[in-house]
Amino acid sequence: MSEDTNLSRRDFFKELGMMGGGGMMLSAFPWLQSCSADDKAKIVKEKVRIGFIGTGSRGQFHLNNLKSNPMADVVALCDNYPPHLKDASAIFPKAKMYADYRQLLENKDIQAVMIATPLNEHAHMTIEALQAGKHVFCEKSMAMTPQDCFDMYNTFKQSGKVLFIGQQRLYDPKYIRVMEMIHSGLIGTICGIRAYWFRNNDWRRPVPSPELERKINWRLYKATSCGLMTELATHQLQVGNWALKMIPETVTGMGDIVFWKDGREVYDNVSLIYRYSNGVKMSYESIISNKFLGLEEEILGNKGTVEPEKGKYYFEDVKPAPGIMQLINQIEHKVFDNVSFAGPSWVPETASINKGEMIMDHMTAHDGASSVGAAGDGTVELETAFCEAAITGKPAKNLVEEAYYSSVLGLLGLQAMEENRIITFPAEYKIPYLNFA
Amino acid sequence: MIMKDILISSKRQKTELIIIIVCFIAAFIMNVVSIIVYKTEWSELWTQILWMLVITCGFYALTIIVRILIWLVRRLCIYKK
Repeated sequence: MSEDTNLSRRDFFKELGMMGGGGMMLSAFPWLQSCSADDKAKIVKEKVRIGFIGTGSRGQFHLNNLKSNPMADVVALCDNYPPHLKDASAIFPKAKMYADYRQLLENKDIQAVMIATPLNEHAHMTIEALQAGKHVFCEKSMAMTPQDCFDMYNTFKQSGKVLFIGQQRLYDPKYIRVMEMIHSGLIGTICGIRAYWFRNNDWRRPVPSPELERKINWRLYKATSCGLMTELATHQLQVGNWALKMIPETVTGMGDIVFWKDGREVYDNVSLIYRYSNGVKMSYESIISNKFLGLEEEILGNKGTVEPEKGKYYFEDVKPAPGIMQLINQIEHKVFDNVSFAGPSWVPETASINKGEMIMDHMTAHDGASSVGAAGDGTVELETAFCEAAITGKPAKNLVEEAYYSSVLGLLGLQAMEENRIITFPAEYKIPYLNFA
Repeated sequence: MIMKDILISSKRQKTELIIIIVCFIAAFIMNVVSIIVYKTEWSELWTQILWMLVITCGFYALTIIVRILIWLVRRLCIYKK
């Protein structure tokens, strides 16, 4: 279910420029400004030589995007599962193939690596790649433990290299527009956030033979995945922090395997509350056995509400119905209210129902059913920004910090559910950013 | 079949036109009153023009019903005499 009128990257930034403040607005999103106009002009014909590690479904989604990216030159592919590697080589036939990522990292010709492996591989691969002098794009979530996330962050800071984490909403035009609206005060003071992601599928991939179950369906097992919190929630937790410009200090929640009792180890049903220091709560819920509500982050202000996924906003004070209709409505009520046979009002009392407004003319919405990626969700812009950063050698400001906190918060949420208690953000894992600076 | 011409006198046309104008003015006043009472926007004077035309037609239909009733009562009185 996608309403897609794709906005080109140029149109997108043109639209942003037309919004109040133009460049001033862009300065509120520093990662969008990491590559200046001068830099862009200098690197216009340059390419970055990329080695790609992890060529499964998400990996191939990236590779297909990179195929049409003029700044990307995928020179090497790596996967320890031959069928995926074969599929990927069909996209980039000239790329050198590796079964071991360490050999790929030894290739001096490679300037940057992109990692789309199972979660348990992220931390050590990213750290080794940064230490090998490569720029790194690693899929979200960062890692399986807060300590690993912290080590990744520290290695990135020490390396002087570029690190991108796959938080594509940071580059999604509709999210950027929404955040501009929120930060300009359009919906007033944020009083609460309700985030959810509902699907109705078992999250499984077909397995050619039983011994490959844990390799193919790595998302379902604790040794390789943290389940919904790292695969889905991290995206939405980041949106909450972005909106509030804060990091929550405590989290509690409950998680269970309610429906998909098929041998999996990770929860299929989670419900959490994150509390910010100003008392605002972000509730998070994810169920993968009902898709009725889809996915959304409802950001609730005292003057209005925004739903970035749907690309809509709603003001609290709805414009009243026209006076003449109110008058007719009142007359009709006086005449017919006491008449027993009178049916429901014919006058459109519902004219004042809050149907909301679209945040922008051209936008792409999706229902969140795909676990690979969706067109127009900011991934292409994120990949392009990574290529630009890898060519210029200039990291995207604040991008890793945003990703770090959303990753750690997802993991703390999981810990809160597993230990059935309220978790306070550990001081040792605070990095200098926003209210934790 | 011979078609019969219906002749509407210029006096009748003028009378009907005046009634319609009066109905429209009444609808217009109704709109002005509702804008004041419900504190809505003055732009509704033209944005709600369709509603005003609908109400004008409603008022005009009411005058037709009233006039038919008067005509019937008169006929009844004449018949009784």
